[in-house]
Amino acid sequence: MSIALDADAVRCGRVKAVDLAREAIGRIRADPGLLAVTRCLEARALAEAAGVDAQVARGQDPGPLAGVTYAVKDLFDVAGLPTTAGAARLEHAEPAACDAEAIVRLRAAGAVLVATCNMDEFAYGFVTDNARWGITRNPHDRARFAGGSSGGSAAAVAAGLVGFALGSDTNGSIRIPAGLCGVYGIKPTHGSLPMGGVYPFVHTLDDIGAFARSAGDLALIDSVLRGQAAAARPLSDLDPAILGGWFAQNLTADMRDGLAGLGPLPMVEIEGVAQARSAAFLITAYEGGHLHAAALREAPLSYDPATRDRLIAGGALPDAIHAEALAYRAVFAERMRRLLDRHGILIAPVVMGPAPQMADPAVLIDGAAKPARANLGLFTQPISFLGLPVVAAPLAVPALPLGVQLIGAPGADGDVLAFAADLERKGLVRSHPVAPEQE
Amino acid sequence: MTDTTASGFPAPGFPAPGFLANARDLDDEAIVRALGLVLPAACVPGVAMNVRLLEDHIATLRGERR
Repeated sequence: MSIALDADAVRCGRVKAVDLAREAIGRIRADPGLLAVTRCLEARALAEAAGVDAQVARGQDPGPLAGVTYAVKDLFDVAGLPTTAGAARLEHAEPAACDAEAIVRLRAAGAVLVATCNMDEFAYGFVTDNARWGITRNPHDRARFAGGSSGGSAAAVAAGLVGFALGSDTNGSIRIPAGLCGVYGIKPTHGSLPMGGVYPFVHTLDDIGAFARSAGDLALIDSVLRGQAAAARPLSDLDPAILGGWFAQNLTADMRDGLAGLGPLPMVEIEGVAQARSAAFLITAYEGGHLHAAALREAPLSYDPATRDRLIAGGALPDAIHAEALAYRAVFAERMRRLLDRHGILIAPVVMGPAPQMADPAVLIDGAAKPARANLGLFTQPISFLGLPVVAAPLAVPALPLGVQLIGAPGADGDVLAFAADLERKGLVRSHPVAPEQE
Repeated sequence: MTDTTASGFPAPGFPAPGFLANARDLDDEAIVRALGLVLPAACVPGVAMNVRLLEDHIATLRGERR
């Protein structure tokens, strides 16, 4: 059932928001082994839900997300709780004074916050392998990664624990877990959704966005966060194409078949993708490293070693390298602009294939095994590097989930959402929800 | 090497001075020393590995390596 139908049932009094919240809390408590949730916010959720029910009882409209349960990546400020950003060193930090702006907007629309979700420490990773809160399991195969860094949010939605979830995406941290967990995710045009109260990582690239089980749900949540529905052009104007070259290499046979299943579409290439990915990598290392430099000097051993050593090395990068990477962005953006002038939607894989096994945390790139934690972003980094809007949509495949990126021009968030909905209507993409395990 | 005319990149003034261009030839301790970092011993191998990785990405950005 869509979250819009859930909300309608609450708004007309057929279903109590408190009951929806209790059910979500029950599902979360029944499945601790998924390691998707770091904190279940029972008291807050029941109070928010009771408030929604009271509005209905008074004849007021609680909003388009009335009683819909959701969770947030553990880098959104939640009033009264420490914002950990997935770091053990922040587990007992001073509590946030107020909610992040995105949470304020969702609450005003009637949504009910029930949990915070697991992530890679400080969002620096693609697998949600967290030294304090464990490795989030992929609900489709618990021996596999959920992807990251917003892996807890994606897994919570895929497992049906909550109606939707929020995450953040700097280099692929929404798109990758959405793709590997078989749900929808959106990385909006850079800077188009509110970042207030979100723990930063890389100012130049950070964005927030939602995970949902249908394209319609995703558009509804996005419209609440944005304050209005994103405008979309007619589908007939979009002239989609598949990105080849860099984006057609290193794919598994399943992913190649899945892309072919989208139909006969033109294939286009863009020059300089390897440089774009490296520029994104360097901007990330520099800005992340400099953000954490003072804390790393003071207490380096308080970080997860896998995060710490990347941040220290990045913090040693000179300003000129950062400027050089930013200069390349302008060059690559112009090439992409020309391509997006011809094709309103570009399609690319999210990752090379299905989720990697936790026992073999590597991906094959040009025949060599590379660590998944740092390399699952091969196809996502060159896109978010430009701040483009992207919906990650799950291909309608029978086996493990495979995701595709539906990429639009800056500001064309409505186009990518509408295109995802059209593919869903045609049966070419669909979410892969799974029932939560009982433990 | 990078073609500076066809792509308009690098921009004037670039490439910037190298980060640690010979990182592949240095051992872990030497890399950390060369960067002037004072680190707990536990950090040295991981930081050195990441410095080498960043040098690879700088080379790729400049078109010196695919």
